Amino acid sequence: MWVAGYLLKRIAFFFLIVLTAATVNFFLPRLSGQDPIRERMIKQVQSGSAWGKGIEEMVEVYNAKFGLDRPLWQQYLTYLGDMARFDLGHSIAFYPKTVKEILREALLWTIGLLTMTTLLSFVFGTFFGALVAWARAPLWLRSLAPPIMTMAAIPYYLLGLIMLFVFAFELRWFPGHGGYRIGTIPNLSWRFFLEALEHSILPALSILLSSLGFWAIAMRGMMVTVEGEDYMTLAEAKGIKSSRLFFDYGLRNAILPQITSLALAMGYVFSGALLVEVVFGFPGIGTVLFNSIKGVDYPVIQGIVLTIILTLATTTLILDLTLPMLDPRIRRQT
Amino acid sequence: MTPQPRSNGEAHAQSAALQVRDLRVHYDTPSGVVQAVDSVSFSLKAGERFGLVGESGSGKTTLAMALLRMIKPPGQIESGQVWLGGQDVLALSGEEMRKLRLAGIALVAQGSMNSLNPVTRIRRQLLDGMRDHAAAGSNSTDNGTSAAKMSRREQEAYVRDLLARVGLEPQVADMYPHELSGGMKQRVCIAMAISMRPQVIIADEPTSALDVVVQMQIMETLRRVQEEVGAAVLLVGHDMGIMAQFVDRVGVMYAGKLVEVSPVREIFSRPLHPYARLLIECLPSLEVKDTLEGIPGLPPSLLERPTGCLFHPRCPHATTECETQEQMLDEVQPERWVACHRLEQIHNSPPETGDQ
Ligand SMILES: Nc1ncnc2c1ncn2[C@@H]1O[C@H](COP(=O)(O)OP(=O)(O)O)[C@@H](O)[C@H]1O
Ligand code: SF4
Ligand SMILES: [Mg+2]
Repeated sequence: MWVAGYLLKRIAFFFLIVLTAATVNFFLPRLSGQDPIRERMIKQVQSGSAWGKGIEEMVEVYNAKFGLDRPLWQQYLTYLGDMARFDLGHSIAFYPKTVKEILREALLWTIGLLTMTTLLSFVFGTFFGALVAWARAPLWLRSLAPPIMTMAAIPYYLLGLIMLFVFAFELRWFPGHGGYRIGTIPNLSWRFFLEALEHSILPALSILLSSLGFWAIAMRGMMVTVEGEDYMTLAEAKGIKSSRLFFDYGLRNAILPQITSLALAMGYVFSGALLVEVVFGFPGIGTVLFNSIKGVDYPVIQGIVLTIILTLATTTLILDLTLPMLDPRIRRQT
Repeated sequence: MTPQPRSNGEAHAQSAALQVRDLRVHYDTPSGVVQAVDSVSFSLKAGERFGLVGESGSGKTTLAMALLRMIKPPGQIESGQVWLGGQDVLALSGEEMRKLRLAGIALVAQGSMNSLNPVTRIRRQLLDGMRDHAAAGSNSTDNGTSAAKMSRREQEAYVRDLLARVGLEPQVADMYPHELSGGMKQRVCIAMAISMRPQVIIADEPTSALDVVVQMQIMETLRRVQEEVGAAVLLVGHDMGIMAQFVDRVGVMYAGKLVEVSPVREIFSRPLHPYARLLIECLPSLEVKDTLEGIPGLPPSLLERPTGCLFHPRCPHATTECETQEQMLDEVQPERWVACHRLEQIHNSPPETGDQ
């Protein structure tokens, strides 16, 4: 019985978040007082690619084209309708490319790089942290702790720069820029995949190495706390095997806060992508966001912000739905 | 069996369920060595209920955990012997010790809210201990129960039986700890403790954190199942009322040492050791709080322990001899073991200051 009510509540909450975010996303740029079309025109005039004369007419034509001449509430309703169909309109900078197309290309790269590294570092970091806290774990493993935890103190973009310098510029082991070679056209071949993989190693490694320690530190702390709990003492007094003690009593309990953090981290994947992608010139969503902010490309910025919010809301929803399965105590509170 | 501190004891080890000899445990802390258990000797007959009392910090929990060999660093079992039936507990390998826990010697932990794994069902927690004792024949207990060898249906019947023994409904098996009351949780813990029919059950303040009515129910349950499986019980506690009703004999601990071991009736009607006397006579409510208001002075710091009789700074009968001479536990009357130099003077002369 509680399941149905709980599900409904969570899903309603999901839509509420998305709607609120979409609304803010709509109004915020319009409050900034910038006029994207005019600014773009002026830029083009300055760079000599358009005539200064007739600029006002062109601004009007484009405003009409993008619907920017209509009253705000009308724009808002149209916007909501478009959002529901995930129709994000056209990019201003790369007209007539649609925002959807731009996002789709970039998302693939970002998901491949960041989702994978986030998941991998979660799995390894969490497990490693749990073992470090486990007095029965082998010594060599526990002696790996200090270097890995130190790495967590270095911001990943800094680690990225260091790796870029050492492995790309000095040693020349890996390419230092982009997601594939200049001149290659992205396609679905095995060769292209390997090329992309080669380009992903440095950014992936810098994220992995710097976030591994983060997960490990948090997990070690939780595991130490759990090891002090009465149920651990009683379990040991029950003659439970060490492995069961570790997984069933220790890990099962210590991992609960980690899973909350993972959901948040997954939500932040795209926003966190920005710096690494810019450092490595990786053609993912971070680079696109960077460029579209520079180019005042509202539709793309909005599209990306909306994507970030959607992923956050989705991961929260997934978290809300999975955590009660892992922690029976949550079921009661809802 | 009474304590046999100086006998060589192989024979006694056979007849007693548990025999402890000259057990010493200390904690190596930054501020010095804390001698938490100091040359403690006592034994439990099969099926006997033995109560361990003393102020908080007197080493009761340390003693209990040492019997399970679960002293954690900075603690260490220094010397002594622990015999469970015919087994030399301190000589077992780690793996043998693990198998002895639950099967030979089980723990009922403090009645706190937190002794059960919060994320798994009761059924699983009732069975997992037995599962991990699956390899046949390596422990000395004569029970044939091994969850690994049971079919699903047998396991279910076994869980039902265990729950019924402690007065719980079968549905409890499907519940999680947070769905149970404190008393129910403690019943589950008792069910676990008897699940492999151990020779000895250690119950360390099993009813603290429970209200009085529930306390009595839990103690009754413990007594019933303990008699059913024929286990001896070492009950650690500071509630004298419960002690008086539940145990056969009482051991009084002071600063890591046993100062008196006597049958419960006699120690309540006529305690011999001055500390035991203050402990029992000065308690209108029959309940020892963390500090004993009735006894002048503070419990000694186990870091800087007094010389001679550890109780002398607080003892109304202390003489200079007490300050230098240590006194061992001795059988001063049949079945009554006391560690005090001046018993005869104290109990033959008219009452002095501090007495009634
Ligand atoms: N983990 C520990 N580290 C250091 N000292 C400890 C530890 N556990 C207990 N002690 C000390 O050992 C003494 C006995 O403690 P304990 O066995 O818990 O007594 P009781 O159960 O009678 O209250 C106390 O002085 C306490 O400070
Ligand atoms: S030995 Fe002395 S100080 Fe110790 S209890 Fe007896 S009379 Fe008191
Ligand atoms: Mg204690």
